[in-house]
Amino acid sequence: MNMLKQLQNDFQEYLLNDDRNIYKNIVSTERMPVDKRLNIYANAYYARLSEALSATYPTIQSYLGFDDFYKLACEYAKSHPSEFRSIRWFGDKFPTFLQNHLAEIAEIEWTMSAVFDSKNATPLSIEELANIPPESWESMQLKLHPSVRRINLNWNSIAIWQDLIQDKTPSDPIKNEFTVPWIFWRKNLDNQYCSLEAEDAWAIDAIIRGENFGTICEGLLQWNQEEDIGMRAASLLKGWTEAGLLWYNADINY
Amino acid sequence: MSYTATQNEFLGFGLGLRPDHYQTILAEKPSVDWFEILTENYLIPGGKPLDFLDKIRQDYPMVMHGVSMSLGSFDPIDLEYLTAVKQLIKRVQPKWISDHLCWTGIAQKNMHDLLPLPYTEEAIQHVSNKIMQAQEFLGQQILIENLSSYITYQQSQMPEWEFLSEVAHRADCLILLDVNNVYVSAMNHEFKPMDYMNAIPAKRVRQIHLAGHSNEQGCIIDTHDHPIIDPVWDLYEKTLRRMGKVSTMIERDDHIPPLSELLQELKFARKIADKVFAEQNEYA
Repeated sequence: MNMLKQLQNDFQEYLLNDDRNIYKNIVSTERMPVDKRLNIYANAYYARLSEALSATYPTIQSYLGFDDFYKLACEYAKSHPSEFRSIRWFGDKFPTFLQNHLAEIAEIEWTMSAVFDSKNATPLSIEELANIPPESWESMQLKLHPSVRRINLNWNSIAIWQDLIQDKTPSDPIKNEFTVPWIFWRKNLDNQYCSLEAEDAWAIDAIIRGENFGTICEGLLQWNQEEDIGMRAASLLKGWTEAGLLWYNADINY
Repeated sequence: MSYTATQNEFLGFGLGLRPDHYQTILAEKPSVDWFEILTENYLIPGGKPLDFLDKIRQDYPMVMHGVSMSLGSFDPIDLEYLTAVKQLIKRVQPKWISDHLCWTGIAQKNMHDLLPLPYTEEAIQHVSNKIMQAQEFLGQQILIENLSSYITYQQSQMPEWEFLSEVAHRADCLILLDVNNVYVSAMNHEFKPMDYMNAIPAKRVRQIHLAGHSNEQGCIIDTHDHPIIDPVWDLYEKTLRRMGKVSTMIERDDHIPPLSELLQELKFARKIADKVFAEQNEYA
């Protein structure tokens, strides 16, 4: 192997797996032996990745405390070495690395981060909605604002997360009787979130799947009488538009 | 492609743009000549950080400083990353862009650290080629910054200053000279900081970084989380005497104080530079 490549491979293996092959290639001095010199890099590696994770998952850190979070972050770093150019994305698999309500709190934090710096887009306005010709409604395909994220939660993790944000003692974890759908999005550069009724969640998921408005209205028959569908669909559409959940763009199909 | 004729542009005295200071900067328009942004913090699709960046850049010149080009890595240059950097350049219109004379990982892994290279002919050739590729792709000369380091490879054949100077010469790139990093490395590798400064080609030095560091169990760690210490200020003064008018900025990455505190440090840098430049004018 080429010398430069070998040195970089050995150095990286030292950081990732504590492999000592690199030692023989490092100059040692009386004041600073090899061990001390390399330790600076090893300590910095885990400290930096733990700090990056705590920036993305501050409430998980508050919940667990600094020391336990640090241990967990080191375990995560060992099992998920970063392949990202920006450290911002390093914690992408952290929610699946955790379990139960902790996994859900992490999923909430990751979702909040994703919403925070997602793509900018002008939301569809009520006026633009009103300009859509009635004969086009059935076949129109709505698009959600690029910041929209949908997650389902099985624990009272939102309550625990909110407690932690407000520096309160976190509620005890309780598993919900039913899965609760949540939606996160950004309006005027500020993150928003709310829980959804099953009907609302189904309709938004249908938009995400690319269903047209006619198909969505048919689906709403699960919860409504046929004669009420028009009113119900219009009311949902108005609510989404007012919330800034829909995206006005030239590709809107109607 | 040759860039040697590029004119030095003196921007004055700048600070690193940090989210903690966004609101204060917009509200108070502090007396800072320019800001340096961390490139990776803005390689994102949208949202508040880019919104603040767009607003602040209307009032201040900017430069971009990256940590992930990994110019010394044995991996090929990352065109996906460079494409994202190029898009950000289009948005920010920086005066210049910089990264480090280092590697950050191989085999597509990223250690998110600025790791030193062996100072060998092979490494000079390798890193110079990659800098040239980056410059060609970005369509501009880039600045490479010297690291603070804690190790020397057995294989090194020359001192760091010789390595940096030769890389800059062969790649025809510019230099971002971090005075604190020279001081930190000098302490850890037991060389004289002015031996370093005297060997660097002044005509290629476009920017200076100043920062603080920590002293941990007899070892100096480049943490960027403390005020600049007196020996680094002294080294800055001597460096300016040799390099002439070079745009200078203060980097603070952790324990970020109120903006007013950094403005005081910046004022001190101006005072030193004014003294040096006045003496040089008098002498001229």
